[in-house]
Amino acid sequence: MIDEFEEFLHSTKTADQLSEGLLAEISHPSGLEAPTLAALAAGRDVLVAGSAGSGKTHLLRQISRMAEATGLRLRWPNEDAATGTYVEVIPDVTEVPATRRGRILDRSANQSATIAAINEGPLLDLARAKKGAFASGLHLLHLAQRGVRGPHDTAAPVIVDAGSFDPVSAGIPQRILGSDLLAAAVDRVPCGCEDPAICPRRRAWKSLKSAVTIDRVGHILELLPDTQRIDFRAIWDFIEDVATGGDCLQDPPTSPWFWRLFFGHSSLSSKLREVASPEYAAFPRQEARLWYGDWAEVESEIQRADPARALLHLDTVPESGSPDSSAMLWVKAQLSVLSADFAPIGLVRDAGERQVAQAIEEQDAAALLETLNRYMTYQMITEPQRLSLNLWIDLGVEMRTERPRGHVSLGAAPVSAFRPTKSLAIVNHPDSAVSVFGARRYLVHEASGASLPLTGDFVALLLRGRSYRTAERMHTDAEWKIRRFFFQIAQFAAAASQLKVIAFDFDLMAQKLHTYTIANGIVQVEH
Amino acid sequence: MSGSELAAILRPRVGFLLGKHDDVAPAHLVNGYLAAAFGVPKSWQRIRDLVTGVDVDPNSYPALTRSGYQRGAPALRDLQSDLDVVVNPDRRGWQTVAASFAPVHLRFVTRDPSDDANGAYLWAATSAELRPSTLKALRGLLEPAAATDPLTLFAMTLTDGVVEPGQPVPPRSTTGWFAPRPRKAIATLRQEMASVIEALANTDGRGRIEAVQHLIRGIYFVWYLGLLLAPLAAVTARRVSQVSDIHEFLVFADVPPGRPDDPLVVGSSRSLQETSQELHEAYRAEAERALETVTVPDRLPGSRQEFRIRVLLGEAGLQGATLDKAVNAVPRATAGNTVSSYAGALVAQSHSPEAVSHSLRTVGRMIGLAGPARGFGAPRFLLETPMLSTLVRITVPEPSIPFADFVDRLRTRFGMIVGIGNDDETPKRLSLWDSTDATRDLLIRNEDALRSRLISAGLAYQYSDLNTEVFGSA
Repeated sequence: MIDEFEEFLHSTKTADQLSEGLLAEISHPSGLEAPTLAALAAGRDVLVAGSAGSGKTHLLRQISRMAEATGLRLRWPNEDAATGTYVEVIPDVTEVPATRRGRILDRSANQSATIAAINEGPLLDLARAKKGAFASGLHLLHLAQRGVRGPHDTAAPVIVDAGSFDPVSAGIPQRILGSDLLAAAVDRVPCGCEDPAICPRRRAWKSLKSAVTIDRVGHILELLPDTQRIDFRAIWDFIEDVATGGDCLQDPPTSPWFWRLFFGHSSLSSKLREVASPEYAAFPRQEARLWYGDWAEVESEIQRADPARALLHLDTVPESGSPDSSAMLWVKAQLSVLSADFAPIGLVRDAGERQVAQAIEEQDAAALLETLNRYMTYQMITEPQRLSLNLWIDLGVEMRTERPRGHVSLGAAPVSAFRPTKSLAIVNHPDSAVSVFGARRYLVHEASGASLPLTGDFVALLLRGRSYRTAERMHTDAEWKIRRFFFQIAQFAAAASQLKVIAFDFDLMAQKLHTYTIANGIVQVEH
Repeated sequence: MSGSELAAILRPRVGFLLGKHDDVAPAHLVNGYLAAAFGVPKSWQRIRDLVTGVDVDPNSYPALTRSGYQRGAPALRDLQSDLDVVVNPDRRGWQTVAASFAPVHLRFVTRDPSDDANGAYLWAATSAELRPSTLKALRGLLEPAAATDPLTLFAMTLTDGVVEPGQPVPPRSTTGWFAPRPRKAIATLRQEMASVIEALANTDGRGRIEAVQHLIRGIYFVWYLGLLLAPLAAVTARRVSQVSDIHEFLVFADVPPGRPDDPLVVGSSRSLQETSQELHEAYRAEAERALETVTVPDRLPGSRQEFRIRVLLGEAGLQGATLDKAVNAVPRATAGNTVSSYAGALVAQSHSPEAVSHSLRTVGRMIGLAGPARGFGAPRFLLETPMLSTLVRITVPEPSIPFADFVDRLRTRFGMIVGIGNDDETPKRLSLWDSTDATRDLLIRNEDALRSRLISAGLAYQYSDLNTEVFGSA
């Protein structure tokens, strides 16, 4: 098996080309398997959507293996005709002749359901050509991808969005890095070290036996932007590079895995380096230990030097893009590595990310509304406004050097109308309690289906505060997203008979807010 | 002679060119357009006074009377100030003479000379091509039977009974470029301009305020398109079946304004320079033709060329002292001046390629179609995100279309090149960089940047197999 594993590591093969034994050894549950089986058992068709490399086939094989234990029979192509009921498996819809694709959900005698892996492009083609179940399924999938749970449609298939699955937050790379199989592969890497006992690569790898260490590797990988879009082949390339790449004898050593997380040749390393380059190391004398992942010693040394751990204050967020901000990211990354007491992801991202992550975890829409309300009023209204979202807009079109000196509110939506959420990885499941989430975060307005993406950059901008100068262009796009969100909500907002007008004085950074009630041709103001 | 007088002579021939003002703002233009289409409300000054904070008598405003506002009271001043926030966000409304507000309702449409008659000319260009149903939809959008949002309710209530509807005015010109049956190139451009208005007038039940904002931006976009393409449509010798046959220009599609050393920024700047040069040539050619139409008497004291100018200015409506002043300001004709060389001197005075380029940036920047701000590098075509969204609204009536089709539509309908789309020949037609291969690579990069921006703005969706769809309902 180790030979096959080594060959797989150094190749571009995907999981469906592996032996059953190796596949079982390196497979880790994604959380999608059980709900998918339940849907099939309930007689529902399932479409597994996602791009090549997103793990569709692997998921089908996992489900097939698990199905046997539940008594559900999955029939793969070229298998004998089954006796008794079975579920038809279509591993790749693109291999079905185009003229027959529209009928993939048709059932023959004894067939209880179909499970088919399909790229989103062909799904779009089917939705356009055949409409019906495919169109509804695609619509529900699109809603789910921005965190909105559409109405259940019994005529439409259950959609499993393999592309929405986030392997990093599910801990897949960490588990592989810590596996015995990979350790065995590392042991077989040829090197010029005189004695394997002092080989940096082998010594460094031993630290990965620690669950705490593996956990911290996970936190570092969570630094990667848009982890949801990382496909499995990219993860395997990363693993291969970290485990076997580089030369043990180079100076600085490139093979010890910790250093190679950032300085390997894989696309993931490159992205990781962009957000947290070790060149900004805050503790240069510790670097050698860090290269080897010798965290325990570094930790104790830091604590000895600064028992109160007041050495670094990271409450002040440096300007985005400044050298300080990059340095801070790495300082935080190191702290996450160095101190077990910190909640790493909260530290690694900036303060905004921490707040939003917390708001989502705690389903705290009020915190997000407060942030939006504050941003839209140029931070001029200082008292917290958490109970409703004012839908501030202006009718300005002209791009001047300063933004318009006031806003009107198209209404207000109460906090109860909002839900912080993530993208959904399973859609239209017969059991409404089933919730498997992807990685992307949103603030969703339930009634309108409006969805505001909460990316790290966007939230950081919200927290940094709005600028009235149009030269600070990043606000143009942020405002555009917010305005679009507001317009979608507006028709569901409270009372059209009440208008709020806020005027800003950018010189004094002061505001004047009036609320008007308009009824029966009378306009009354409330101060 | 100023740019205005040259514009007065050339407009019926070239359609659109900037004259006295190169700072015609969206609010100016849309008011001019709607004033021509639906008329200026009678006693419009009362609306202007209310918005701009003049000491008004509440008794002239039924809603103020009913609501108990007292003349000069702080509450009334606050109300006026707040109305100013609502309908005057672009700061184009003033207490004296002119005012251009956001047309939250037809009652707010005013007459403002700041648009230099461009709105009325735009109406002349598009009115013949608009279907009656479009006009009805446009009126319905701007004069709703009932308010469904608080902003509209506020504006409608305060102006109820204050003004009476105005009367449409006849088209500014019905000759030459604005004739009922113009040449094919002009007809093609006019139809496309009208189709933009049509797309924006029909809101399909979407939010009214958002629709009004898109309409303002869209009307201005149409006019800008007229500035860029109408003169070229007047002189082109090409067979024209779509707008891109008249002229194509490269738009920098990455995040504006772009780095000055970015090859795409350089290309977009060159494209704007090329366009300015071609426009200058078109003005010159039409000025020459105009001068040639004037029959000069055999025995003429003074300059033959200045005689021609005097006649043309008289035909354009200038009289008396204004006419004399304009004639005195024209370049002096010398004995050796031909009609052609004199036309060149005349156009160079106010519409040199540099001046045209400067103007295209000034007006284009107002809605995010050109940039950067003065003093920050060479003028270039670009696309700010709000403008991008208006273009999606205009060009994608379907629920969604493939991204490449969107790229094609921008090119075929407006001459805007943002990428290759489905047309592999595009790189061969652009000569902004050293080779076709380099052009192809850069266009692919531009297209990819646009794709990313559309996705980021929620105007498009990228499927996992990299197929991107642009949403019409976005």
